[in-house]
Amino acid sequence: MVISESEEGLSAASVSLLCAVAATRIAPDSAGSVPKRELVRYIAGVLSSQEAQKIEEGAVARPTTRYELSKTLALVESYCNTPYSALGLGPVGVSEDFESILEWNAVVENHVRVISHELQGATPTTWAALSKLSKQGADGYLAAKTIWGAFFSTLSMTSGPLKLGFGYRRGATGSIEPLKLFTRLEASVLDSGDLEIFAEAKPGTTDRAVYFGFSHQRRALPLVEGMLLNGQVKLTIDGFGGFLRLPVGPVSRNSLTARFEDWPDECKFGQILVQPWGGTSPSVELPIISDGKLLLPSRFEDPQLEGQWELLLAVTPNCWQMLAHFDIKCEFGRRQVLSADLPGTVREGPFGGALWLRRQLPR
Amino acid sequence: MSTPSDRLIAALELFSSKVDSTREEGFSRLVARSRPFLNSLLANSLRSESDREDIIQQIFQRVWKSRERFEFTTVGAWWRFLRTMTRNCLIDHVRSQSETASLEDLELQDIPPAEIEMVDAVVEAMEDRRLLYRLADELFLDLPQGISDSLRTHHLLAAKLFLIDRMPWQTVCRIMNSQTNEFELMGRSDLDRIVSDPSLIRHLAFTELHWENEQLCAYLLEIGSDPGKDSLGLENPWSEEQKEAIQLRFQYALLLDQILSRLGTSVNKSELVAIFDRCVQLFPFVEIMYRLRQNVGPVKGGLDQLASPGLWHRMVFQYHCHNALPQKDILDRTAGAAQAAGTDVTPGKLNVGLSNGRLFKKLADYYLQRGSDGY
Repeated sequence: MVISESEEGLSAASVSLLCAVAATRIAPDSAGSVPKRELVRYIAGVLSSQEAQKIEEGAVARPTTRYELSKTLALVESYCNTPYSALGLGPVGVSEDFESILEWNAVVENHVRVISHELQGATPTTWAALSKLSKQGADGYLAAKTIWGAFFSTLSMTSGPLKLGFGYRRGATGSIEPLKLFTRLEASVLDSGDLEIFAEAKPGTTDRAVYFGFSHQRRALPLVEGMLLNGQVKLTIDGFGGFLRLPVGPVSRNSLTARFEDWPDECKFGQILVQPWGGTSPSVELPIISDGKLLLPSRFEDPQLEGQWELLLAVTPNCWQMLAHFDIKCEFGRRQVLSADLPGTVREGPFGGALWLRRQLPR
Repeated sequence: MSTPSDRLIAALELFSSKVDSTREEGFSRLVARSRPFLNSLLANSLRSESDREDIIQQIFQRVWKSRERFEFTTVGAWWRFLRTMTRNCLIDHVRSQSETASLEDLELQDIPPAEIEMVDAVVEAMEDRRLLYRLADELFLDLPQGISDSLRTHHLLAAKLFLIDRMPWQTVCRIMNSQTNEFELMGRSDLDRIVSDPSLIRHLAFTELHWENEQLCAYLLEIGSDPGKDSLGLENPWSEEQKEAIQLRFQYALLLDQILSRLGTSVNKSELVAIFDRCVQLFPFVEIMYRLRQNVGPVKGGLDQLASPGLWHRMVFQYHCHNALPQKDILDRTAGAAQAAGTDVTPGKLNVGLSNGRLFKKLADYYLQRGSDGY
């Protein structure tokens, strides 16, 4: 250890003053132990940035907190993989993990309460509904993030290219290449958090209705519709840039991609991911809440689909809670209603949560 | 949330009030806040604790007398005022003891007017401990300047989970990706990139090796409560008196004489010295270094970072500035681990680093060159 001596810079008198000031020793708040409940919320991804930073500081300082984090991760994953109705709380104090289960239930209950009261059955897979939800306080924003995460989960809120899709309201053939329609496409995030899109079509393009949507991995979120007039269209998407935490200013050309695609007329069904792992996908109708249960009418007609299925609900930006599993028998023309318990915080009527119906592969 | 600097300014404003009760409240806050500063200033000039206390009392009496014309706009101005006050009281004190004392002996010469603005800027920065330690991390550990505290913590946690706790990379990434609102998603290649960053290895080693006094004391008391368990060479568990002595020495960093006077006649000096020497032998730092070498060994260049001078400057700075440890104690906590890392921390090198505040000087110069952008 050698410290080079330099005579330049501050004098000895100044340095002695600095040393004495440093001796006043106002240590920053030391990272204390972290309650289990907070760890559950950290793993669930429902903490604010500041709260999460506190947890991470505690985990950096304490090996026991890091151990608890990994243990909590395993617990939360086991809760997620247990049908909600079987996620029994048991007698108070019996299980050492009781506190964790209790907190996890609170997370699920809160999400279900927020989406069923704020969305009131509105289809969350349109920007209008998601945007409105995101403005309902911290819980609303988190619920909107959860739905976003369910459909676009591989895309971080802070990075990744902004993939805009655009096309005609109806009758698109898919044969027109985007660059053959628009010669210029620009997007910019305004101070208000709105995203402004400006597009210019080739000279001679006739006036027509166009739409813009966000697309990712073959899923589309309709954003805004407008008219292409005199070869130009300028549209503002309320709060979209702010929601994605995009920096204010023009969106770099490198992070802006666009393609031509159909307007997802059936976006109301976009809130249900269906994963059959082969065969003809079952058709599902809109989910509804009746007597506190989630009812999902569906038709399983392809014999290949027979077997174990499970229904999950996105409850945090990175966690899906299994609601129920089903032993499906396929029958042509028969309508089956899948039913699952939900927390008592749910509101009767159409249900706007992000659902995932998937077939369990044999182990 | 108010910063320490804000709280000091608030105390100064209260003290400037014309309302007596408000002024008294401000004064009591200033006394509490300024006592360590005065102790530090007087430490080199006055060995006796009671002499120092006398001078501190005089200083506060003079501050109280000056209350009617009291007005400060910066924390730097307050500390400079207090330093001048200290110097004047010290001159009076030394003159009463000896006719031959001079200002040079007192090491409290005036701050050159050309430096006042710079000193105030650095003082302002040093009031904020997070900023001070961040500057120290940048200067000594070579941590990058442009990233936020939260991202640094995020990366450090990922490295600890992976290298120290040996968790599978999938588990580490799953934990680190729990919070989706601020950071980029972390995958295997991101994790590899993070843990192979030399400055992060130094940062990780620093956080493993630097222990707070409370933590070290708790460790000593715990291992001494069941000596047979770890073959520590202790014949019996610590007695209550020994525990108290250990607490005074390692948690409150009192000197031997201070501890003796507190404990009275129940323990003699040589017994205390033997206990403290034994405690130093029980320090965990060498073992931590061996473990660190195992943990970071597979990382290319990892072992070199453990022996890098910057890491040991950072350790010394933290023990000196944050824990206010004397050089001997700093040596006890660093020398063995440094040797295990393949370098050395010696009394001579420590003296060079800490005498005349050389580490502080480097840090202040760094701050003045770097500026406050990005903090």
